Amino acid sequence: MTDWLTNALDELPTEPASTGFAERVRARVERECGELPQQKSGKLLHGRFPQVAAAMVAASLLLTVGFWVGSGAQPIHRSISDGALGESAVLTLDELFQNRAALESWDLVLDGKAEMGFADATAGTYVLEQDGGLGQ
Amino acid sequence: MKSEHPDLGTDLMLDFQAGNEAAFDALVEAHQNMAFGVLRRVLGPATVIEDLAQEAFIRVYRARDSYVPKGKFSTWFYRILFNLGLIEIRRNKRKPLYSMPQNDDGVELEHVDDGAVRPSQGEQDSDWSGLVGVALTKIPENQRCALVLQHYEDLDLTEIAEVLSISPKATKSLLHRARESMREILAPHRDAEND
Repeated sequence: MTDWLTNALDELPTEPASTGFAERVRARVERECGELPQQKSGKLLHGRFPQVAAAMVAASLLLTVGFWVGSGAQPIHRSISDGALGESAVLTLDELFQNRAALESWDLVLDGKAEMGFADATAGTYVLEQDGGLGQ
Repeated sequence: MKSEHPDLGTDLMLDFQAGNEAAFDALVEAHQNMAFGVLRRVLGPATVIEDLAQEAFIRVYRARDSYVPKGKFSTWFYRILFNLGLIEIRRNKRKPLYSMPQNDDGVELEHVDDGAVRPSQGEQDSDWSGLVGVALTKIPENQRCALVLQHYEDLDLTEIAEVLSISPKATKSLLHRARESMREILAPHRDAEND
């Protein structure tokens, strides 16, 4: 039994393709994708060759100019190994070693078990104070 | 080779793939009415479908190298048509200024009663083709696609499921809801006609 909805749906007519549709599709195909993909890609590469070549030449020029400009500059490592900065760097290292020796000696002085103190301020002598006083 | 594929569309597509340009023209001739019919029913009477139908065949042309005959050509072509249809629907969709009461499937119930297909418009009462065309545009897109494929293209559940990329069970449910939605929209017109 066919229900009323099926009958109603049947009332909607089929719309045929418009006249000349197939020709318009063919024209659009020829306009938009008229060549085989491999032909297209070949032509694409061929057509873009001047652009690619120009880009490569420009990149080479840029690289050459970069090297040329860069060759006039002082290498960074040279400022450390020679010249005024090199000398000052050596001096600074010597001072650091001296300071280190002084600091180490102060460490000994500040050690509680080996603390030095003046026994006689007038004589200028001093003794090590260990365990309540050694060797006065 | 042709005997392996009982589908005319697949045979033509394979011929076209092999380099026979005339096979593409034959493919267009054989499927152009289908393209117009499906697009018109899915998009409704207000949309210009010539460009979309052309685009569908352009996509077929461009898929020449990648086409693999996994199933019927028509199933693949329906999918192209429905994808284009859905893109067009989403492009044309306008946000409503106010929200109308909807049923579970998103059909605007009051809009149907007060809208352009009101049964009181005497001259439209007997124009069921117009009423059905407008009613189809008022049900959700997935329901509409399923109903068009079943009723107008004579596809079975499995084929519809393949086109819509859903399970046959989901397709059955979708078709049931599509018919219910159409009944809901068209029932007032039927009642008016019977009165």
